[in-house]
Amino acid sequence: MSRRIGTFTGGKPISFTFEGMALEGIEGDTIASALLANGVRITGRSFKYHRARGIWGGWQEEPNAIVDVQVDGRHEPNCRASVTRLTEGMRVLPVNASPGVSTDRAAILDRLARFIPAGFYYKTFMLPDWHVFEPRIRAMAGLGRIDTEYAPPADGVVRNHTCDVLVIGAGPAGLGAAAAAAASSKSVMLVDDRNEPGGTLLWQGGEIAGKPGREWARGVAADLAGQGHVVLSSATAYGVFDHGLVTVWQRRDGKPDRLWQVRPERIVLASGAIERPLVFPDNDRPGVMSADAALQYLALHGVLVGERIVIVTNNSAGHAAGEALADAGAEVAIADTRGISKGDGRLQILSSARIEAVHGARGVEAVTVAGKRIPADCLLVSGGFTPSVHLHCQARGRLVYDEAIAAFVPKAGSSEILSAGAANGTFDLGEVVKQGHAAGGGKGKPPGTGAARSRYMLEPSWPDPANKGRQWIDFQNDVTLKDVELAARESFRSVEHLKRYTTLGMATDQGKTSNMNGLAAMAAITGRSIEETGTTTYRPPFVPVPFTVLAGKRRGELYNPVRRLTLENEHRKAGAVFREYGGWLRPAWYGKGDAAEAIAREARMARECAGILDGSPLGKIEVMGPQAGALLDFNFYQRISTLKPGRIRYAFMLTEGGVIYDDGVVSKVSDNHYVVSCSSGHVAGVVSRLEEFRQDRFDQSQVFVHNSTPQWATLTVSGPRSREIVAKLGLGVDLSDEKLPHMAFADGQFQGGAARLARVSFTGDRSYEVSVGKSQSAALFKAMLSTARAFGGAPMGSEALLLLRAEKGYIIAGKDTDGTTMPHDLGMTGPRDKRQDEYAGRRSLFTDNARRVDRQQAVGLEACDGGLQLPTGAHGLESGNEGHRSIGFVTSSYDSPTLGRPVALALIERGMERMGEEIVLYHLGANRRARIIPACVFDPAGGRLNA
Amino acid sequence: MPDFVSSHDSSRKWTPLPEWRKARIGGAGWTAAPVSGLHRLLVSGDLKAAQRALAPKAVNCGLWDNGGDGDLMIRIATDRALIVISHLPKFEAGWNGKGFAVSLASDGWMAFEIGGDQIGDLIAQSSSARIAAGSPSAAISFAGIPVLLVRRDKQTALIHVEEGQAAYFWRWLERAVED
Repeated sequence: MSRRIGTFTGGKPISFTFEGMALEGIEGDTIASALLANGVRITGRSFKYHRARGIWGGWQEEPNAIVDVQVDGRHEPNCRASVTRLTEGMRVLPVNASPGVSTDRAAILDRLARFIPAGFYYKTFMLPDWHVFEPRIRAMAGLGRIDTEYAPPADGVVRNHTCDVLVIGAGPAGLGAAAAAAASSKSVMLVDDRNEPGGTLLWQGGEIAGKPGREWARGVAADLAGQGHVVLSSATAYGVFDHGLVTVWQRRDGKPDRLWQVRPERIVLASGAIERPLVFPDNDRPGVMSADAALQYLALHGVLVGERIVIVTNNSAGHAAGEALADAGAEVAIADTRGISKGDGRLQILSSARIEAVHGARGVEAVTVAGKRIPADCLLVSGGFTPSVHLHCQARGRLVYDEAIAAFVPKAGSSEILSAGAANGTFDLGEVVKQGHAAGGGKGKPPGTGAARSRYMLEPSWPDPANKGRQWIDFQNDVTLKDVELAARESFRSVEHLKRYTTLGMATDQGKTSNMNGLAAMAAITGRSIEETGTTTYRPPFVPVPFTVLAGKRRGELYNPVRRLTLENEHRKAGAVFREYGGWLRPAWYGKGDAAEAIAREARMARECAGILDGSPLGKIEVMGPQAGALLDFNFYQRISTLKPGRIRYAFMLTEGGVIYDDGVVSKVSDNHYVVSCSSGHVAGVVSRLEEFRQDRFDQSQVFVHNSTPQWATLTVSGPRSREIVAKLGLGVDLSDEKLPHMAFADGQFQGGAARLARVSFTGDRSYEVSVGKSQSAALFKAMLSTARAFGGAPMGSEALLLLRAEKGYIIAGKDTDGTTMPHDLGMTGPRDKRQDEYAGRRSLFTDNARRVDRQQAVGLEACDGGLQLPTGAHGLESGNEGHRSIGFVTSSYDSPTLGRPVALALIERGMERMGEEIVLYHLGANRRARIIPACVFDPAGGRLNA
Repeated sequence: MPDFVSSHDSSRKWTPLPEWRKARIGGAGWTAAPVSGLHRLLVSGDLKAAQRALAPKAVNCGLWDNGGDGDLMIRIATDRALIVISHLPKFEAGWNGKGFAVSLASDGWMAFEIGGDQIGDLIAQSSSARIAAGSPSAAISFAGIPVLLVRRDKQTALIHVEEGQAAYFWRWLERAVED
């Protein structure tokens, strides 16, 4: 049984629980080391077959020991026990096991394994319907459980950083690189995911520059920090993105995690290598673990992983581990797959050995080697080391297969990243330091190393399909050698297909221990070389990164922020209920009572007296210069330059495809100066397209585009009493219809500041838009409100406006149009018929598709089956011999308080020639009947515009 | 009845606008406060001509440039700048015959002064721009929104934010203190 060795002097005791069982670890422990110190063998159940699993790895590669953690009120699912630091009071819960890891009910699935091989989902759950099975399967899927009651704090911090050299990994290669770069007067950032620098020096030992490796590592890191370089521990570089952006996740003691976004001039990758398993029957039993991991637990945590240990290895590293474990008091036997001479007698060595069986379903009890049963409580495995090339590949670097170490290594010069040390396939300590020194741009000799650690030598030992029994390749996803064979038989032979079909290499460990064995197995089965078989694509993140780290503080108000009205607090005082419209927070209606009643009240008020709307978000884009008119003529469907100064024109903007992008009004100040008022949500887009056209087609010194929307607040007064209200504001503008007719504007003054008064209407009633500088908006609102109240008017929210405009058949681009609607679908044919000059989208208005007679056209609808409001989104239904089909849909629908009946707008095929026709509308399983009518159902003659 | 009605009220998510006259943030090695009383003109085209006509004493500023405490001409793009002045000159909005366009922009922006010896930490939280390297344009992404970043003195940044985004910017600064 694993235990803490008596001679280890660790930190103070730490109490924690595992599955409710009270246990004790020590300061500096990971959850895994603490569990091993307490003799815990089964730490979880496997994903698919619910097999008992124990700890395999010593660090990021851990595929088995996934746990949910609760501590200090925080809940974190799917933590890897091997990297998660133990803290006082921690509650550790295994995943995928109910009621517990030793008594998991779903363990019966393992007995049904032959019926549920790779890909069985795709074949089995087709009939009668996938949805019959889906809920249960989804409930079983996944590992950890999220506590839906728990809201993790939004406290993560982002930090941007630039440096000359970023070194990833603080092992001997990384430290050598960092020290060399610093000596060359480069600014250095050194990151390492452990809480102490040194990498393999911490457990494999070694001597550098005449010092013990650990001491040398601490000294180099301290020197770098002392020189002002950035040295981070517990910081994992998990992604390389475009333009060399590297993201680093830093865990900080007692502080929120930090996300570093680093933009270095040069990257040195010294991320080490990961020991991979050997594949033999029942190689997934609890107690089977990585030999290198066993060394780590011994050296870093004083934990001996077993008393009677068998080590199966195909390389020299397994022997070094055996010697260290024997020194710590274990009885060690080594089964070497190679034909080697016997050792020094201290260790029992079996040459050309093969593991034939592992005994003990709940933990290793014995191992059969060459027909001989050897009692053991732990089986260590060393199948060789796989360089951690993930970041090199994320940077689009290529790999080459190195036969000497049976692993892929970075192809020199294939990415911007320089790899060094084990990450580069180099394991001799002297050579590792030398490579690091060179990668850091070091001049002269690198630090010398002492007596060489045992030279790394390996003979490949890949999965053998001829072996009997269940041989596990991917522990986390329960992928066996037979699954790989099945995938090959079913022609999923590409490693990418193999991954998707079997799930090999997926989930939290992303195949760190399984990929090489998986692709080697596929290579053997298909008769290709390993290099020909290749690897899957490496993508960020290298390790699972909590969403809390990625999101940081960007939640609530800091997530996808809306723009805010200058008058927001005044609207709040007036009782506004707010909604988000086109990226702005705007009053939807006023009053905290029933919403529908409030909206209807405001709509009636606007029809009978006046409503005041805060229209500040409406675009106010100035186009200026001698070519301003030409730019706008190109931008709009309607010609703009022919306007007279002081007048306003309604117009469409089309995409290059001829589809309506937005509508709006344009005011002409002078031949050299226009103001475009577009939809609130389209301001940035319209500015962008105007700027694009300006730079693409016009003399850039002769026309300019300014977005002046933020400068001006616009309050709209709409209704039959609007002129009287505006008259009281004292703007100094003649309000007679002769001087200021509909679709005209005039400049005036409000309390000494500039004001512009425009007569445009989105309600069909006489309306005035008053625009003033935002610093004057509160005064204008106050004056307008007090005046309006004397006439029976009041503020009106956006919902009432939307209702009023629907009564008039006025569209909202994007709501009453879709990605196919062209202006002639709305009956706006004039420019299409008459304009001969070029404008955006023109050519697309004359394609075969644009000329189709069955295009969906904008119409009104009235319910003819009882008067209830028609549902927005309901589809017009046409039934024929081939069944039903949609002929369009309802785009807007309201109950009109003015008309006392519902009104609706729709896009319907051939709508304009079907006036008066009854159609069927289908919505959520129910049919309605509606009649096609003109879109405008209120004051079609337009008399109220001047009433 | 509208298309959809629910009891949802977005004002619960978005807290009221800060009371700008009293707004102050401090405690993380830097302090922040809004700046009032500045006038602004947005100009495009021949920027030298615009400067001569509108703000001859303004100091030209790109990213992180120290413009001092007088008038500034903050560069936004090749042919665009924001003139920040204490007194508004006589001008006519629109196209100017000397080759530039001008718009009143005094209320379109809010300015914030952020100063202190840890201001570098705040900027590292907020922007990936290499401010030390400078740039002819003062326009960068800061806290995820476009701003203009120059300095009043060595340790005091002057940041211009579009008025409609100022409340978000302020809430972001409030949270940035918590690093």
